[in-house]
Amino acid sequence: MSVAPGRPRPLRVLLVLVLASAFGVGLYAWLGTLVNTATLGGKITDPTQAPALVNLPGTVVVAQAGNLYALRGGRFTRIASGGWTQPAVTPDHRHLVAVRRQSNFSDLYELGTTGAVERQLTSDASNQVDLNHWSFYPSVSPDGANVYYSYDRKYFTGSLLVDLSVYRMALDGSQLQAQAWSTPNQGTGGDLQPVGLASGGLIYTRTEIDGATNQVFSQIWYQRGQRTHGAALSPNGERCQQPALSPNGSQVAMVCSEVGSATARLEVAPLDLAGVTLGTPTVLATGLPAAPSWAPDGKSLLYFAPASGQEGQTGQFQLFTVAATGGAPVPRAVTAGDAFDSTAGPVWYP
Amino acid sequence: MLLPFVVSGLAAVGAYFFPVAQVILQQTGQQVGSRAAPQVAAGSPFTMLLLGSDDDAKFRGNPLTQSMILVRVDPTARAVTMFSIPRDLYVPISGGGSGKIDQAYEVGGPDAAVRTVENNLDVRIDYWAWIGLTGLVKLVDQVGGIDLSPTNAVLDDAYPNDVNSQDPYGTIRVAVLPGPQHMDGANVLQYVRSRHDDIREDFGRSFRQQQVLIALRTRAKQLNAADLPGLVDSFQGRFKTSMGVEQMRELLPVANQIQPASIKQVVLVGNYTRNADIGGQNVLLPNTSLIQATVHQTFPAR
Repeated sequence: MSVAPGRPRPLRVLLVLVLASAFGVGLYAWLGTLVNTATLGGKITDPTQAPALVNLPGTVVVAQAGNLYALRGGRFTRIASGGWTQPAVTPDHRHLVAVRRQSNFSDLYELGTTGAVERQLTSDASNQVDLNHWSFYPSVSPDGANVYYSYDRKYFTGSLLVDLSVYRMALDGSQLQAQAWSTPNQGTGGDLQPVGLASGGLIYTRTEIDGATNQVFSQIWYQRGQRTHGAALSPNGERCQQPALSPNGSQVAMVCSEVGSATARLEVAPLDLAGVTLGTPTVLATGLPAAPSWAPDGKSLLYFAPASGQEGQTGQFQLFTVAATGGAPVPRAVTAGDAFDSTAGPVWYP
Repeated sequence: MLLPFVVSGLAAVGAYFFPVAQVILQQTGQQVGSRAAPQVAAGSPFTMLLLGSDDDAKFRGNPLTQSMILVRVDPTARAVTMFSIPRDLYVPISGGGSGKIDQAYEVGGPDAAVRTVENNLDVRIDYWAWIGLTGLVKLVDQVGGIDLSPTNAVLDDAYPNDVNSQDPYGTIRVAVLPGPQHMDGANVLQYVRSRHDDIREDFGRSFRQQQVLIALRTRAKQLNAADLPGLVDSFQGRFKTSMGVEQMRELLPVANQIQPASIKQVVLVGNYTRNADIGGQNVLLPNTSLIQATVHQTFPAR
């Protein structure tokens, strides 16, 4: 069979069709690569897959997706898996206290620095949903004898109000011996993020809701002793949370924001316990900084912030470091591509 | 010679954007009853009623709307006002009788919801949009999660366990901790839906819902046209709007230009309502004149 002159040959037609089909498939695939949602969702990697961008001295413990990771010598190691969050370290740096969170409750555990569970400190589980308890934000007292934490005691059977109070228990004791240290404002979520002071007192975040405006305020609160009323350290009418005490006890790092603002500031302010006040704060970072933690030498801080750390950026939270003193602060990213739990402050010890 | 490539290319683009076209045809441009479509000139301010429902396994037919937010968008001024309507507001419902305003959608779908809000708040609504629970979860997940900074711990000992659950009447405990964080869809749903511990009750929830809308808008700025198929796929059957695709297309650049400081949030706190018990139900009786006066500061009357 001959092909009429001027007509395309069958082989040539087939080739064009194959190429055209390939072009179509390629175009479809290329359109898929333009999708930003995949990038926005972020390819979340296990922190162990990449070295840190900054080599920090000592050890840093962070939480991601229910795992605890230790950062030493620029590399992450997974030290505990399964529901872990909010690590704290004992003053001798030989043990961690961390929260293990399950569906309806959470408990405090003491672990070795390698992540091995040594002891369960609280027993918050119940078969009846509303009789479970939460324990969050553990912090070991400077003398190493006690652990402060936030715990939801029940107001009365059947009450739907749940608020966290600051509790203190002996580190070698049990929940039964724990004592309430604060009385929260009802229906606010309660008192959070306690930090024990060398004086025996306590600072924490106290939440208040203004009945006239229904606005939420939070203040860094100072309490000299158990069940004493205490006093506000941070300004009234603002939201300041997540206090972190410098190693020498002279400064407080915290995250503050204006009412109605979607952004926040990482601030450091001198602490004057005698005058029960905070000095003029220095702003170290803006955007959405979270959960500050001091370096062992008190010269810098670690904190979490989304993506690049710049204001307006969104995304998974990465670890950043910034000098606490000396000129204009320049935050540096310690990680990229991780998805750290920014409700669990990093722990940094020598 | 070029024709096969053009045809193949068009087929590829068509296949890629087919889900968008499908959703546009099925879920946008829906009209309210027999009322004529609103004529909002391009670039003119308009009012939209956002409706959010617990469309879980407990419900058959139209669900209640747990969230009702009036939104005024002024594209020229690049300003947005969000006005949360308390779901327990006891008002005459379009279609008959009186009840909580969240029942209007259940009684007569978007038509009744729009007319009930229009009648009681004396406001003209140009468009409405409705989203279900799982639609919100999927939307947030599809954009890769959102960044939020809860102001306080949101704790709930009786949170409904009705999404992907064997027992939709069961409850679980929820604890959303405060401070800046990145949330996925499931966490966002708990955050906007929880209400049992908040002393502000439904008002606290309204604040949180508006916070999530602002965070979603921030995230949406980072999307482009190629993201649309994935996004609309997450909406299948869980999103409906009266807004046409052309109006949505015009709105996208405006959304990028609106600064957070230009977003005004209004929640009715104070003398706007008072608590009452009607037929064993806890309801909020409206101070209608006060509410309408506040509404008219931003939203045009009918």
